[in-house]
Amino acid sequence: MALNIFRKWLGKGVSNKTGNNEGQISKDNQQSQKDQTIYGIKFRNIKLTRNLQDNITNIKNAMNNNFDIKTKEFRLRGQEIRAAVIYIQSVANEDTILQHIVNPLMIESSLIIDKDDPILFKTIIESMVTAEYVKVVESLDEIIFAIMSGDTFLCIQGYDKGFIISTRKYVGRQVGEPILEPSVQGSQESFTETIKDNIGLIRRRLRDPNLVFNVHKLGRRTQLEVVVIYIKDIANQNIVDEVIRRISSLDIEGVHNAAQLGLHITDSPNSIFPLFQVTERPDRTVRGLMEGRVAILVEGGSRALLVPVTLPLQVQSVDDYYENWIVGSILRISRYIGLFISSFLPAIYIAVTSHHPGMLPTILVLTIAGSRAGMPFPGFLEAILMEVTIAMLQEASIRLPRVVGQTVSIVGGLVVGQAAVQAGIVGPIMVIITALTAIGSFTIPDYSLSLATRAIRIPFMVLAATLGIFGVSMGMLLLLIYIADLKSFGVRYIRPLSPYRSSDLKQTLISSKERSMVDRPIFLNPGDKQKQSNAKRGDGDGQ
Amino acid sequence: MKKLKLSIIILLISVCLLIFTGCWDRKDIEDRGYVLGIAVDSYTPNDSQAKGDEEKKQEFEETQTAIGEPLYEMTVQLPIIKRSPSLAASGAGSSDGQPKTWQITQTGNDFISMEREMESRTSLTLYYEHLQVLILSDKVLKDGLNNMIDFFLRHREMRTSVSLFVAEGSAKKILDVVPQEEDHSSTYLFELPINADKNARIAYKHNLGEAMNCLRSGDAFILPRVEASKDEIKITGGALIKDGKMAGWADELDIEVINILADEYKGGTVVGRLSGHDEGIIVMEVTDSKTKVTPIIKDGELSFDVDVKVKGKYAEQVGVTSGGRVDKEYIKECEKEFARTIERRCRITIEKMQKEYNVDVFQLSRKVRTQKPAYWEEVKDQWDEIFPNLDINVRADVTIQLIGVMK
Amino acid sequence: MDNEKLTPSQIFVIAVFSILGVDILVVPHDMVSLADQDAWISLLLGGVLLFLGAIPFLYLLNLYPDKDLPQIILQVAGKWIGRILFLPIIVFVIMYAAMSTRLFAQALKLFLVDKTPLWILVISLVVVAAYMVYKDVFTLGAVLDILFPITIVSLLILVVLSLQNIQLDRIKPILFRNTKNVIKAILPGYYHFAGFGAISYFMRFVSDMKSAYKSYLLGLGVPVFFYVITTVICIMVFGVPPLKVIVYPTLNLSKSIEFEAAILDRLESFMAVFWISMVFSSLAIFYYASVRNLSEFFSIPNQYRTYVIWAHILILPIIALIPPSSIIVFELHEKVKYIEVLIGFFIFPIITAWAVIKKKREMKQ
Repeated sequence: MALNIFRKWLGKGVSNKTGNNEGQISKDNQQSQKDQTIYGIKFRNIKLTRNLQDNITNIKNAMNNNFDIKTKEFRLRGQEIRAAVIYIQSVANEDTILQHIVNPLMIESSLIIDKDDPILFKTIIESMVTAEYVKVVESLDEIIFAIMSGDTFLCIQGYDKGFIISTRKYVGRQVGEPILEPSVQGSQESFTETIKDNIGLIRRRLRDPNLVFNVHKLGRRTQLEVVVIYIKDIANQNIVDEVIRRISSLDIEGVHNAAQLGLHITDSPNSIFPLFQVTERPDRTVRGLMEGRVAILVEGGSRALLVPVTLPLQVQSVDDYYENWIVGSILRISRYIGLFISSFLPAIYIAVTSHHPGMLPTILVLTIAGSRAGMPFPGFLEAILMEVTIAMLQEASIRLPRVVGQTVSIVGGLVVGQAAVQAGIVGPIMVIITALTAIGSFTIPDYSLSLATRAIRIPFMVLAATLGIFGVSMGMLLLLIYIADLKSFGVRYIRPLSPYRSSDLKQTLISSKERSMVDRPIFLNPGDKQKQSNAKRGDGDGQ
Repeated sequence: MKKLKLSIIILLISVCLLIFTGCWDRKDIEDRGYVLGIAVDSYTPNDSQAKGDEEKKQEFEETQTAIGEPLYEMTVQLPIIKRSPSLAASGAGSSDGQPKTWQITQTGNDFISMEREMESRTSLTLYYEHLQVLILSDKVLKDGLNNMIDFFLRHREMRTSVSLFVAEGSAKKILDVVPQEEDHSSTYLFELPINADKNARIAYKHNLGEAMNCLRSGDAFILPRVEASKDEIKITGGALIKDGKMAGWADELDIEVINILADEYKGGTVVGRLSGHDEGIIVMEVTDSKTKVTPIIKDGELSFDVDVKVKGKYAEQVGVTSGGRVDKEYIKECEKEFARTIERRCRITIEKMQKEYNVDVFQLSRKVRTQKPAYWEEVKDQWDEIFPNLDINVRADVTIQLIGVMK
Repeated sequence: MDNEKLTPSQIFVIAVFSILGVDILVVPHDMVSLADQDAWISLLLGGVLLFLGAIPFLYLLNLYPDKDLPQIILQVAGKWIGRILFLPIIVFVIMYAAMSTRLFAQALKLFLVDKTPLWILVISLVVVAAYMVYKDVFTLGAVLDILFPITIVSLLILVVLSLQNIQLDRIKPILFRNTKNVIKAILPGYYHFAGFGAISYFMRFVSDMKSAYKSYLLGLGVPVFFYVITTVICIMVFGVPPLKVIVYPTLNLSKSIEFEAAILDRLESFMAVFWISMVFSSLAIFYYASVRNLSEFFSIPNQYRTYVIWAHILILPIIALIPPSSIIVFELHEKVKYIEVLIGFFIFPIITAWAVIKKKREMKQ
């Protein structure tokens, strides 16, 4: 099916490539998902009649006569035949309707159509309506769905068939800068809420004819487009099939965001670790596609979903690839350290100070003990207190407008922290630990992953307070087993850390020389295994 | 879903159980008493002159012993941890005049009881992982190190890197020193041997682990001796330990020789006097040295060859009147003189150890045991008779590599 | 993706962890007590013995590539004789798992958590291992894969940092009037490598048999190397007489290291932490083996496997906590290994021979 779309796209030419995909959407889906939609159930069997007025009333009634449903009646062929267009003002482009539908039909129809001849649908499609996509329809569900999507329905007196003409209006913001995943060297574009633009952003970065867009319609009521994107000869077919199977077997009211869709199709809904990657960066999406992963876009959501994902992939950032491999590796390793610190540092601090002060150098022990002398709370409670505070601060700074957010961080971070230390409620070392933990969590490129570290922090603190470093180690083992058992679309979440394969590790755990990354990471079972030519550049040997 | 709920309930219950019944080892960092130093003296009965508060304190220090009479007197040093009022400003600067350590003394005949008795005098839990030094009085050593050391070896918190020192007379006095730089006399004392690579007169290895190894293997060894003034501690020579008992004192020059023979000659100075220059002395700074001790058996007689190869700098000349240039011949002459000095020093000490003390502090027996095992099997019971009469030939070879900035 | 396989590198890791366990803490003491400064030679020869035992064992596995040990025994020796021959293996696996847990819990109490009751330590180790076994074999492989470098690096750090404390002449004289003791100690040396058969429970999940055999034999080399090197280093650092009285020499070894960089100053607690993962790994392997053993012995169908796992959470701690004192634990830990001799030199050869005969007969027919 995907190949089919691609062929059609080639046939239609390059100029209107994105618009064309939109056009395909309604067609492809009405077969596959009709049963799930409310349209299907209610209106499938209602057909158009030959009476124009009846048709208009039927359609308007079906859509509850809302105020923005506009009907424009006019006459064809020298005022003889009545016709009408129905559209929704707020989602259809009125200019297009007037220029490309009403205008040609009213004015040019008398020139083309003879008075006595019956109106040929073919003539209208081919010679009169200049809109990009026209389709002949007869059942009400199709019509209503099209109108809802912003298309226009053209109906002519005396015929029980009509036209759907694409006149969608895309209201949305311009391509903006990535907010959640900023990058130093990478592109400064991020996905918008319009799926058409998003596909364009991907297409522009990947001119590969094997790029496949597989369109689904999802949601009982929302009926939004969901596009599954992959590169045919790289992505593993099993993974692609699994993704498509999971999406098409969904029976839900609707999703508005890629992350929401991700939660619906994830392997284990209870996992605190994100088993799918949500990104707002087109370049990262393209990178993922080239690694053999599958991207999913949802209409109205400004994020792409990348599956399958593994832990090392989530720690990667696009910036890694724009730096020399040594620098890139250092960046990546510092992120692993950040991940470790943000998950375990408070627990280790509690364990060491309250159970094993023997692990610290003497001077440090005396310093910490001096800073904690006379504290009202035990170390564990102190840590919990700080943890809750920092969680509240983080939450507050997201909720508040950007201007006020600054104030919150200053008041929360500096004033409260300083005052708490001076008042002797919290020790200064604990403040340092908490700050380090927060900084560590900010180094993680994946927002969901950094939230996951927050979720495991407190259980580890409990373990540390009860069993000391032994408890922390047991907790780490439990966590490791838990992570090792997670799967994202059949791929283990810890791959390629295990099973060991040096070229995979080189590319994912640390960064590697761009030149030496000949093979694609094998853990996603890609089809086309080689990324680039093996020959060394600048080789004089002429092999 | 049902399964999930069940597992969550089990998890919650176990977490609650852990929190409410758990925390066996938990003790906040400020609630522990970090024992930095321990001094062990032999028991002396109270002097009856003490009055008032003094008397009360002495009463506290007595432990009621269940069996036998008190033998030892243990003093532990705890740092006094106080939160300074202006912590945000700079460290603890304003606490001048107040003591920074707290010495608790207790008497008894076993150390664990003494420790427990101390706990009834302090609100802190004694914690030994940060123990730095263990100071023993010579009296205790003369009674036998083997007798009392078990507590320190068996205790789980004791570290093998604890430094051992010997004090003549009262060991407790060493802990009472208020050092100029450091806060605690124990840390001060612990860091003193750091200069062993500049001054060969400091015994090289003296930690608890080493001592245990030597005690178990039956080797003789030395422990550094410390002496104290009000605010200073000095390492002065060492105590010779043989068969777990103190056999005598070695002075600082002896320690130097012992270090040379143990191949631990890391630095120090050699002083010589050239034959032509009656008044002046010349000094060499040792930079590197290698000693090889070889047991030789000839006609059933054991002897040792000691080869000392020393590299050094020509460091100083005092009162050398010739005003001569430091040239090739002069350096040759100096090298010979330094070698002679080293050989002479070695001979004196070796003789002292052989004849005066009969302590094999050079651990020559180990050389025989490992290199001439067949011979060792024959003589191992008579080593005490063989050692004083051993022929130990010391040959020193000095190379002067640098002469400083002047010719 | 559904037909996941264990890779040869995972077989390597499993082979390493099936032997490398709590024994590394006690090996120097045990061996030196028997053969003085030449203990490492006995240990090395014990390692050779291990390989001699492992190769015929591989041959047996090769005859039944899609079966694990219990299935092979029951198939070769029949329902009843098979069960009789199988019994020592069951006892060995359970006892071995329980005793190493207990032994390690004692070490933890000594070096990490003094006042925490023994049963808490034992039960938490067992429960985490149970969770591990509850997941599938491939998760086990993945977890061990990740723990492997951590363990090896920690052991290497220990070895390298200990080099500053060694005195080379402590290992001398080599083999002086001591050959008899050395030979006597070979068998006890071999006991310390008990558990090489654990691989049989994993071989049937392997993707590439040939290279799996290779990596298995390679994997056996790693514990031999570390046991020998730890023993040598311990002898050189402590000398023979002290080693005879130190209970956990390897932990003491880490205690004796003085490292100037402040944070590594106190190495032994860090080491204890890393060794938790090491002991856990070997416990998980034996836990899995025991679950398979009991399931096959009582012919418990696969859907009740979970209950067998639950049962072990009860059985293992109970066995581990029965010995009242640490001295008895050391004794039991030794005695359990005598069963290993019975298994290695009696049961495995019988089964192998039987299997070969049976196969030949089948070939004729």
